[in-house]
Amino acid sequence: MNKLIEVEQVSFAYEPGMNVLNQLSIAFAPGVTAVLGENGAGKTTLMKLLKGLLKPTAGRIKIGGRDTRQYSAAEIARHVGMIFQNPDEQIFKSSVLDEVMFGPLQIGQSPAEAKERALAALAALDLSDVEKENPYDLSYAARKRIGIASILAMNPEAIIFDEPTIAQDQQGLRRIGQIMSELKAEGKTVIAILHDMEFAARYCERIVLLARGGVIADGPPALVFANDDWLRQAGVKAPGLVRLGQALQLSQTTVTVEQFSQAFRTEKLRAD
Amino acid sequence: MIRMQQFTYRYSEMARPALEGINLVIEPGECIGLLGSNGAGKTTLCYAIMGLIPHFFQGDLTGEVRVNNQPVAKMDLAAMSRQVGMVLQNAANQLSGTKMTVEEEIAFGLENFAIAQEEMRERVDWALEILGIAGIRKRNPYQLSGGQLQRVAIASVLVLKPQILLLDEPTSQLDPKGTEEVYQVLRQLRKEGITILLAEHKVEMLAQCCTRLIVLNEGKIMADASPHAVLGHPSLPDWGVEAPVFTQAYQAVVQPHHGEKVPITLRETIERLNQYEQAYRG
Amino acid sequence: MNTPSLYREQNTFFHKRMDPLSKLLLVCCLFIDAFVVPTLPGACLLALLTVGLLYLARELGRAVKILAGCALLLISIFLIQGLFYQNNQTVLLQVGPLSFYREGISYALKISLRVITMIAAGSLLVLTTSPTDLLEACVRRGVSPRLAYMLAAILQIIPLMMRNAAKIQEAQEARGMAVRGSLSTRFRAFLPLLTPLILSSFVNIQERSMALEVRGFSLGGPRTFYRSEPVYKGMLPVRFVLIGSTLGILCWRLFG
Repeated sequence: MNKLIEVEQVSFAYEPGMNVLNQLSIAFAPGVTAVLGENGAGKTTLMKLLKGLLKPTAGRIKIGGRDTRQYSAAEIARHVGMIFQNPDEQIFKSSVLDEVMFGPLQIGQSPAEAKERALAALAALDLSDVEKENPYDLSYAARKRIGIASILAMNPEAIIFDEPTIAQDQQGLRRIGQIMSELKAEGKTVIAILHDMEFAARYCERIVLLARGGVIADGPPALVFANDDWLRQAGVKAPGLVRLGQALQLSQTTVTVEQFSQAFRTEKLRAD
Repeated sequence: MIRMQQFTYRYSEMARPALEGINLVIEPGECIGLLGSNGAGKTTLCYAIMGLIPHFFQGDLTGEVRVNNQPVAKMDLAAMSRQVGMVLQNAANQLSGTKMTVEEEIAFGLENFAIAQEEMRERVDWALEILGIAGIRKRNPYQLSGGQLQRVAIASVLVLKPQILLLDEPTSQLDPKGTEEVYQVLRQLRKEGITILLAEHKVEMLAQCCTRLIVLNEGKIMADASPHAVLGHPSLPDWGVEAPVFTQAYQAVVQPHHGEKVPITLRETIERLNQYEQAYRG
Repeated sequence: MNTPSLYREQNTFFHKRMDPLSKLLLVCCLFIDAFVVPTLPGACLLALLTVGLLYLARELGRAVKILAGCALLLISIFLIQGLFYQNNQTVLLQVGPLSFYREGISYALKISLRVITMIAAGSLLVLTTSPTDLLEACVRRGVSPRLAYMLAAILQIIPLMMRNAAKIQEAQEARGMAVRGSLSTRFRAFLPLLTPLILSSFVNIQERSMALEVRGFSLGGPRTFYRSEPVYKGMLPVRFVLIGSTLGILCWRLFG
């Protein structure tokens, strides 16, 4: 498979001798990958490295086969879009539409084209009716979705979501999950840093567990969430349905309500 | 302790009321979860009880809020802050911004209350301890992560020992472990008799912690009842709220009839599904 | 992430052994002196004295950066006064159609020295004093907390803006804008930075003041302090000397 982003033996330290990442190797291919781990495991640092906002202390990162050291962060932005955890660190225009058009204009699209892209991205995030408003007059959750729209409008090959679920209500969560699925269908590489295990289980096909600056586990949700040892090391808790299935001694690991109900019926309620 | 009567409020620049015809009585020691989608009026309800409405925000108000039998509209905010504490949604904005260390930041409110230095130190130690942030007491508040900041924000209000504690999405920036820790603190506070009102999207946590749930939708109260009654309500999705995943799993398997008491926590669900299996087989 | 304060801990007299109020007094005295000292040599001496104090406080390097930031102001003083000062008579320099006059230039020199003295004095306070210390010292002496808070907020404006600028540039870079590299790139990146910078400084002010209210900030009456007040020795004579010398200069100007 085409691996858009390759991280090879990367270490990183903000202060000498204090490694946040330790010889971490991982590759990201098209599809939706969740990166999970405790606060302080190195998730956000890894994402900033992928985005070129930081450069590795050791090792290298390749995007489309080229070392990120040869790119500037502005050039990487054409290939990899990053949605910040805190939208207020990302939003800097005084109208929603201008904000979302900013990226497309920067990468050389015509104003008409940029506007068309921006409007489509706003529609995808339920933001069409606020395009003229000042982002700071809207709620925090709405600003988070503006941050997402502003990256979608640039149409990069890979998109990194840093904690997209924070402060979202049910509708917002579903919207973001849908968008990830759509991006996947378009063949994009989607990486999401998450705290919300239920969301990861529901929308991501690959789970990467990070702890103390290294990868502990990497695989499909049913595999990773079934291993208590890995979860403990990463300091995360299995999604509710996994715990429920384990307590009821189901042999399969299920991560959606439908899967659970199916498994419970076939394993527990079969006529015997 | 808190009584809202026919309370309607519209922010001055908004077309429709943020809250409409709210009637609510909260007794001392209750722990109430406030549910609803963004924009449903959860934050506004907290502002109204805190007295930020009408003392801070301009708008049209009818009806009344009383705290400890005093009309909030007639009390000043400083006096309110002696009874009611509020943790704002955006933790970074909760900081005074003038202090160079976490412990001094947490002590800010106590200084305003003119608490004696000796007691102030004890209370700050207690708040640091209970939120598990004693290790960062000397750090600069501006150098903290989102999760740490959120704990400092909670500590800065908790240290004032309010009788009523309002929390607006207090765990939004925390990982599951951090969330669990904050809820342990809340359970502890409940035991000490503090009245808690908690606006939150994490239904699984509310199901474990609260004695009562209120669902808001477009400024109106849709439901106000026990957690079991609210989370098992068939209209819940229409109000923009999803039941805990355990409840959904139970419903998918059992397809309970309307009005049946459904399980809302992991433990209850395990028990009920085991019972169901036995009944099915037997 | 930077602390929104220009204060940096160092072990000098000004950082450690001079109390914030004496430093505030020192700055006030230097401001007054800068205004009342009439002659060019006097103004020069005063500016040198202030810069000397910065040197003793080991903050000259950072202060020079602040002064460099004000270079535009100084240059414009020279241009305007050199060209248009009302007492201009003697032409000093002819650049094409523009004549610079001796009187204007010397007047501009005097104003510039005043400005430099004032900026240097302000820098001395800001660079060597923790805003919290200054704020607490004022409130302990009966200054209203609201006023003291505003004072501290002003001290924090520059560092806060610097911090926000870094964040905004990171966000702009993440969206494909070149902000690093050649001088011209940096300059082109500077303008799009300004609007969001100013906007973001006003954002959240409402929520912040709400949070202050919720924590009893506007409660009247006495206050207590989490930290005990540090003891500074031998500050009384320093204050006497400061007040005395400034009064002396004032008397000399008024009656001399």
